[in-house]
Amino acid sequence: MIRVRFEPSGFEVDAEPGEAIMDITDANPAAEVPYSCRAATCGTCRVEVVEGGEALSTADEFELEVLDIFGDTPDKVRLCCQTKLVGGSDTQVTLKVCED
Amino acid sequence: MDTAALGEEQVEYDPIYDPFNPELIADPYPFYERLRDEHPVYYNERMDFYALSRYDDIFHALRKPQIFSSAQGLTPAKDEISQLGIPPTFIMMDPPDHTRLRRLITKAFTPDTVKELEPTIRQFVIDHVEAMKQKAADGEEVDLVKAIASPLPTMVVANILGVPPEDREKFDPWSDGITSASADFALDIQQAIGAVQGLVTYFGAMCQARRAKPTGDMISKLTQAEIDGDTLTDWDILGFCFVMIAGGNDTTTNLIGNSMKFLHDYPDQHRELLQKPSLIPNAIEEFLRIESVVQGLSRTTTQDVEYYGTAIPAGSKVHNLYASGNRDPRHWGDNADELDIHREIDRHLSFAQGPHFCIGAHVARLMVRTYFEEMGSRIGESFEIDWDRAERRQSAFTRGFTKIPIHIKA
Repeated sequence: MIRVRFEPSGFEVDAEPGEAIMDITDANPAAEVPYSCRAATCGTCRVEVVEGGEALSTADEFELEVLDIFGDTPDKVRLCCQTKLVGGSDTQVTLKVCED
Repeated sequence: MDTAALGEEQVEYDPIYDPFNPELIADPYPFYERLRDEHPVYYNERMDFYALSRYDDIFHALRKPQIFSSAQGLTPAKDEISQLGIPPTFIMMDPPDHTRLRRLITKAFTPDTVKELEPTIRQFVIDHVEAMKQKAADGEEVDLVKAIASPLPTMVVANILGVPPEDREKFDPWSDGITSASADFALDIQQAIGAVQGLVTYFGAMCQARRAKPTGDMISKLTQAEIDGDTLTDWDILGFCFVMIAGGNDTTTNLIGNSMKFLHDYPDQHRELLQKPSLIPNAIEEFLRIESVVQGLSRTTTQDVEYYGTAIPAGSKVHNLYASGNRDPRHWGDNADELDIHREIDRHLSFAQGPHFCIGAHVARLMVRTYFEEMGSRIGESFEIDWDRAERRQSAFTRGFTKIPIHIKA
């Protein structure tokens, strides 16, 4: 079980390894993560990884390209539409919606 | 060199690629094929811009706003922003300014929010399909564009912005004026200026009204929004209205018209779609791919770049031909020119790529899906379209129909 917290909404939910972050936010609008393309292109769903980055999937070339547009690196910022939970039990992941 | 009369002047069109060439506007695809094969980066001397036509080149250019900037406008014309006198719009900005402004309206366009529009959209489509059937039963000629393809996006955009029903008919001349094309950009710009003035006057008054008495519509929310502690000016908000009207109105109209033409040309696939409505979402992506409503938009280089040995200097306009990239066999295979509603589509270019990915994509998909579902269940195959009398939109930048006479059988 992985505990995922979204900021600034403060919404928290338990999730399983293998779940996509966007599936979690789809099922829980209270997480208040904005999104648009869902295809690693627009960068609307960028979130800062506050903690638990080791429990997130590796960014692919498309995601890296979008992150680069905003001067971000995958150790600090991820796209919700591309990121999955990959492992670790009793892990806390905290993701904060980027402000710009 | 092709020529056309413009008043007393003669316009000499570039025969390889000139967006205003009437021959190209009539059928751009042979021009695009030649560009891809022989001139993948092409310099148009008459208008002083470069054109990219291959999928990979466009895909990567759109995803690099650091090099291909939107801040100098989106057409090949170098000074379109100053000529049009348009308000600052986020589609003509780069990150991070673009990101901050776009975020203000993102919430209005997420799939969740869009879902809330579905009952309104469905009822509107049902009412208008039934009205078409009634008109046909009364012996009146029905124009599919006027009857439903145009009013549908107008209603949705107006609904989001908070425009009352009695004012919605003003929209179409504005969007037509902004996206129209004729023999030369100079002539277009006069129509566009008139359209922008109309839009600015109307929505300027609406901003004032919403500041005094906010409602729940987008303009009210924008009047109350803050960026870094500052509220938006009326001029800022007018930029959002410009984007909504120019980008959201006739694009969906054109998508519906273009889709109907392809289904006419591929009747087996039309039948399959009617028998299996679950295919509609993928079919819509294929309609978007095969005939990009927005044929292309421009960026401006922020540094020198080179393609295939051709140097493009910093400060150049580069026109990205989405419609050409969407038919590039290098990406889509040998049947790129053919409709295939089963095609596996990864990323077409019709909604652009990168930070400027069309914010209204989900709304457009919802409108068109609902249209096909209700047309399919209420009219099915019981119609014929007189394509010989259909009229194409005369535009260098968009592709669609302004008139589609439809005969609905009893």
